[in-house]
Amino acid sequence: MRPAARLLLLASILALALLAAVRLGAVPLSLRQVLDAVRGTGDATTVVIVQRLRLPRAVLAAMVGGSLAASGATFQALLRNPLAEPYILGISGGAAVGAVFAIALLGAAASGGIVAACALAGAVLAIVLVFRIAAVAGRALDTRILLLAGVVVGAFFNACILLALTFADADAFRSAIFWMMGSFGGATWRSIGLLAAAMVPALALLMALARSLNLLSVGEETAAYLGTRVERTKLLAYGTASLLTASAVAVSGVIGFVGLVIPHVVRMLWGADHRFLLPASVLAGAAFVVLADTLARTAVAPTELPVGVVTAFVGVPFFIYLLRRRAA
Amino acid sequence: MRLAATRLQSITAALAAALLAACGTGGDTGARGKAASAADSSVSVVDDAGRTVTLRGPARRIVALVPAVTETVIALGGADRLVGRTDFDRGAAVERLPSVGGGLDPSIETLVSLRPDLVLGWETSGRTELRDRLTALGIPVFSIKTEDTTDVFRSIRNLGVLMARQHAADSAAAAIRAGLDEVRASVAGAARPTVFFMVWNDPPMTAGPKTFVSRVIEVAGGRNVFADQAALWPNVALEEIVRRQPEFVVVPIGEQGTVRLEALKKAVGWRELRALREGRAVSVPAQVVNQPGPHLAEAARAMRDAIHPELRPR
Amino acid sequence: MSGWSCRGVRFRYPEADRAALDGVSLEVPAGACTAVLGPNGSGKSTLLRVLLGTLRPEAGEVALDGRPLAEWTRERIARQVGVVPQGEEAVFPMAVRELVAMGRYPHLGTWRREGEADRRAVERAMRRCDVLAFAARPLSTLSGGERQRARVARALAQEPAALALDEPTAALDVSHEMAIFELLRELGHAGTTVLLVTHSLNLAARYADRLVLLDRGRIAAQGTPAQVLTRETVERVYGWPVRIDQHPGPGPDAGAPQVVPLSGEACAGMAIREDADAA
Repeated sequence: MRPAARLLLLASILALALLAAVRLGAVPLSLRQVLDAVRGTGDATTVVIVQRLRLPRAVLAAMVGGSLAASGATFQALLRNPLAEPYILGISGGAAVGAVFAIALLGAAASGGIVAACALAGAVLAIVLVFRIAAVAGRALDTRILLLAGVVVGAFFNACILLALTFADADAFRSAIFWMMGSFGGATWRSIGLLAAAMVPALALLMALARSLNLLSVGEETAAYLGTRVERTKLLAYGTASLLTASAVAVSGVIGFVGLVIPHVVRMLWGADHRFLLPASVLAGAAFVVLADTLARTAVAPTELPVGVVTAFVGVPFFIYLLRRRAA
Repeated sequence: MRLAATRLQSITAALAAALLAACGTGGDTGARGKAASAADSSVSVVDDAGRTVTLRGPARRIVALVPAVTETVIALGGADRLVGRTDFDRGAAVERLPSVGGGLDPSIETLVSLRPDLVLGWETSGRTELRDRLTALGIPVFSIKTEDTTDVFRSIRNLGVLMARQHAADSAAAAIRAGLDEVRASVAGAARPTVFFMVWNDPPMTAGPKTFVSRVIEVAGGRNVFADQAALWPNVALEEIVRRQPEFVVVPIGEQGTVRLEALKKAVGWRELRALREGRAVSVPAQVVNQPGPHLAEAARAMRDAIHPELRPR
Repeated sequence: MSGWSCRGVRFRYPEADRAALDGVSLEVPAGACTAVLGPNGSGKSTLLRVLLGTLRPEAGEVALDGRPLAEWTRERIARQVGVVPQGEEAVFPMAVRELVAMGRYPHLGTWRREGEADRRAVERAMRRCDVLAFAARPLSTLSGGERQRARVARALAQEPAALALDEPTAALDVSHEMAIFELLRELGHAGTTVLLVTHSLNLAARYADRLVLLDRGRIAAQGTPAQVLTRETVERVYGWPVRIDQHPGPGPDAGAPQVVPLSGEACAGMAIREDADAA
């Protein structure tokens, strides 16, 4: 299958996933009802459910899934490590610290928007810390030092979170835990707009770096010999992927497994050329998270499972199946 | 101009009601958040978060996210107006109703699909996201605080207005007061033992002085051994409990995850409490004691029976 | 293009006792094949990296095609010079064709798609290095030597004016090693500048036009093979007794000096190797 056809296939799967997400829920809706509601006609409550609840949630889930998959693929190439994933540089720890402190300290004043802003600040702090540590160690952007700094910074932030939780009251504790488990329940068109403002330029930049990422994943010296300005490219790629991850986490909490597994799935099926891998990962990640969120919402309704639980429970067996198929 | 005057009138009336409620007497039924004028039948009440909630008419499709409030609604004769419940609402009256999940984080979609005209939510010092989202979707949310006994009386009165069942509200309030008075009278003159109310055992959590549980202990002729704590539901160190050697230990039993009294008697630290060793650890039914709602008098009676065994009829 | 030249190059790795390169001046003339030889640790790979701009010397000047190396961007170097590094570890599965196709990247830039000409260059390169049969196979299924040939193919796919190779035949068997050297000779005839770092003294002597012999960061000798590979020089630099024979031919190899290491007993009669600490 040609690459363009494959991308079209993935896009269709995403469209179907979005449709399922909007149709399924506490009140199952037919296709007709969905279309009416999108246009604003039909039963008022249904319009509210579709336009204000399900649609923004599905769209946000898609965007977050796509962002995490793209940044996961990028980190895997930069760190030349199949275990790399979007949170490997301590980003999720930093975002969680920002969010938890906002919830614990600001209490009632901590609206969704403020928590997200604090989460973003925390994530950026983590990124800056990791790069500073790596720079102080003398070899800025050296792969092994970055990995080590990321693990260390992440561990430190996790300890901060636990400390904050020890002193938090019951409400704050609950809110903080739920935030960290990750959820798309708070999706609004506004948060979608903000994430899009970060996501679109970031993805465009990563696409421009696609060939460089191909080269870097073979080796930094080789990449230099084939024309890559290695340090500059690494800085751009790390920075973009980090900010993309930070935005996704700020908006929806920590949703794991997507950024690690989706790029591998695409590589196993269709190879490691980033010119295809990046857009394919975005589409596949988006579809995967939309489906996971739909399942999370409907499996044991009205209780909602955390999305991260579903992504892991569904993703792991599927991944193992793919691995075995490959080995056969 | 007329609209502004109408608004002013309803706000003044609501403020007056709130003021009287704060005094805790509750006996004056003159001031209520009454209808703004004879011309429109809208209902306007200030909730426990200080916001004025206005309904187009008396509430007919109610979802209560606070179990004690569900009980209050039922006690005021509004069981047929409930259209949904939480996972924590038990009982024959509500079992057949669809659940919206937990009370603190219900499924918004399910809530919306039930088309309520009033949602009774928690007033907490925590985040207001749920309330804001529902309000933005056009669903009125009335926040109810459930810390103190005055909160109970106030919520009964407010619900009476919201449901246009003021008479039932008045009766229910009067019945509670009578019950409490009876309990208070029955222990007048008796010794007042110190009581440790164990909300949870690990880490140990008890009721602070500002809670309805603490008030119930007082009415029942006891003294909360942790009446000096500032927090509402403070975590206290086991050592401190042992140091204070409360005369009675009261343990609520019956909800999911409650502690076995027998196991507690042998547990490290707890077994140092004389109350446990000498048979003064008493269990009370949890659903009676844990609801700051219409069963307050029952709670007081249960508490009195627990800490004044000498007064129990032979 | 007119090859490389460098003057007075000095380079020292951080935390090393001595400079890896000290006062190195040499010419790598265009259109010829120059081989850099020397024992382990003599600075061969370091020299290559300095000439290619991935290491910056603390003293001295390096020029490529007559212009100072500092003025070249990485993209421009990649368009002119094809490099075969000593080893690399591709972490993610990749087919041979994909690896070789990377050689076209310097000419494609960020956005251009591969065209017919690019595909043909890749095919030609693979055929010349005898990896065409593996084109669709993942790299991980290839032997070390086959992977090395794929890397040479990648450099050839760049269609460069110059080729720089770091131990390109280390893992290859006789026929493949000879094939690579024949290929280098062919390219040399076609006008490509070849800069080769290798351990194979004898093959370098046969196929290279110039030799540069390094000894602990300094140039011990440079010139034609006959000039460089004398018994005294080789014994002094390598510290082992040798005999220099002449290649019988036939063909262009006739007369090339061939180094034959002697057995250990001959050590006593050897020219003394200069001690590093003396003088």
